[in-house]
Amino acid sequence: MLEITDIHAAYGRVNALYGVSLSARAGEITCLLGRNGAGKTTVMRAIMGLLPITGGTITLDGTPLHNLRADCIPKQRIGYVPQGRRLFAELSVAENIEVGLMACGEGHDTRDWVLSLFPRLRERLKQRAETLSGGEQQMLATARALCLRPKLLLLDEPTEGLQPSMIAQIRDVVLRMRAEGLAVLLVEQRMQAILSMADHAVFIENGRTIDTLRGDALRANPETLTKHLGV
Amino acid sequence: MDRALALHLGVIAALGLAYFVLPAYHAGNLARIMVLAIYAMGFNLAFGYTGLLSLGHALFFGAGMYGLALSMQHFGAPTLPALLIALVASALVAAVVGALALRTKGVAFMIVTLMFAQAGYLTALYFSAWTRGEEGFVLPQALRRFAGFDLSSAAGRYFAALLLFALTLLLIGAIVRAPFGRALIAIRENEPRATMLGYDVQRLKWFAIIVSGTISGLAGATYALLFGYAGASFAAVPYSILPLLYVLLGGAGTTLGPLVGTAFMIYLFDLSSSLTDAYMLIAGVVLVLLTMFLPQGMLGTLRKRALPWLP
Repeated sequence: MLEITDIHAAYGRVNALYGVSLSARAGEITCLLGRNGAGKTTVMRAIMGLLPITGGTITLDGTPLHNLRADCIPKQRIGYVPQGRRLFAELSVAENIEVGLMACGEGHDTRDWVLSLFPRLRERLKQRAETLSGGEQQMLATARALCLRPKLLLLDEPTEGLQPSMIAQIRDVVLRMRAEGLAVLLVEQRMQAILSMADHAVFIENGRTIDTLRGDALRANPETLTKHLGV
Repeated sequence: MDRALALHLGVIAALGLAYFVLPAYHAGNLARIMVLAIYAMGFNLAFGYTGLLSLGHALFFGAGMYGLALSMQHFGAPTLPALLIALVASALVAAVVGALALRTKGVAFMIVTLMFAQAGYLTALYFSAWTRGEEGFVLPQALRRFAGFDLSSAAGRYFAALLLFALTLLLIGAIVRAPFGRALIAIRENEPRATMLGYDVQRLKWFAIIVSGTISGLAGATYALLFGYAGASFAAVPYSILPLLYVLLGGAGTTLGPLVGTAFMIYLFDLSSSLTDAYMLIAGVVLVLLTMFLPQGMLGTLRKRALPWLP
């Protein structure tokens, strides 16, 4: 599925990634872990073509992504839920979903599927996105990414700042996506979520991959998280 | 029929009835308001819906105005072909300006569009043998006819303005509810996010400028046709600022805001100038107060506070 090999990237003249490598496979959740400023979001932006890489390769099922324009990358069936949700605030819930559907030419079937994952959104279709609660906004951001019918889903701290009931709902959807065969690349800070969901964990520090572990190895030695994340 | 379409049809019907109710002076004002509201609606598509703050829309207005007036005056083109020439001219100018100006963003985009408009204004002055520069020229009454109707008469002018206003309003209403319009709003709200969803943002913005410029050109052509005059002053900088004021006052990103803003501005100048010579001072104070207390414009504020369905 997704293969990232030794990528380098910079914000202007400031280097941000010095050699990140990771894989994300279908039907598995790969957690991308690291302290604040380690480069997790930068990796996500590089995958989505929002930050050009200066070295290395990014491929999806063998297709190079790093040569594509940013607007062509979602059409490879990659859904991205950025940190901070970034909704179209003045559009209603229905319109936000519609914009997601139109981007890849998806129709009513996908709309119904997405709303079945988030029944709460169905109750708020006419409500403006900016008036939703934080948890509902996260649901909408995730729903909009799923409108692309992705085979790879990128989630950047989807449970940040949410109450426990909302976290549980988001978690259930992520697990369901894994069960449906999607590859999920998840940036997460909460230890409990990492330990319960990760099939693989990739640790990065100062823009480099420093360790890769299987989920069961991580659960057997949870102190690894403490060591790498300092939590 | 949904509420938005019903409201649009209701406004069109009310404007139709207004001709029979209002005194001739106000009916004449309203005809002018409707034509300038078409201009503001075109501007609103770029600014209010797509988030592109152009300061060069007078160029498109002027392209439409000269496209119609020069083809009628110098080549004897009948009304309909002249109108088509005006639309093609403004669409072409918008396509070229859009392709170049959209390489920039933000303040740079404003400056580039302003410079294009200034270049258009100077071009109109340079070819004064054809355009008669600032002085402009009058279209003969005999030319201003369509399908047997005299467009220089009060009724002909009013209902031609209403027809074109109604078509533009319904077109804009359809565009902003169509996938194209939703994509434009998505770009305005969050351009990087629209890109992340897979939208070709540059191309969509270019299309928006072309449609916006063509509608502005239609307004310019209509102005020349109905009021019988074309002059370089309509392509000058103040005519790029006016639609911005109309749209900001009425409500950016609302379909009827441009009409409300245009009517308000024209009557504000009209009424304040009948009170004092210092009417610009009164108008200025009113505009400052409105901007302070209704920052989203009249209809924008109404939509936010009371009528969320307002188109």
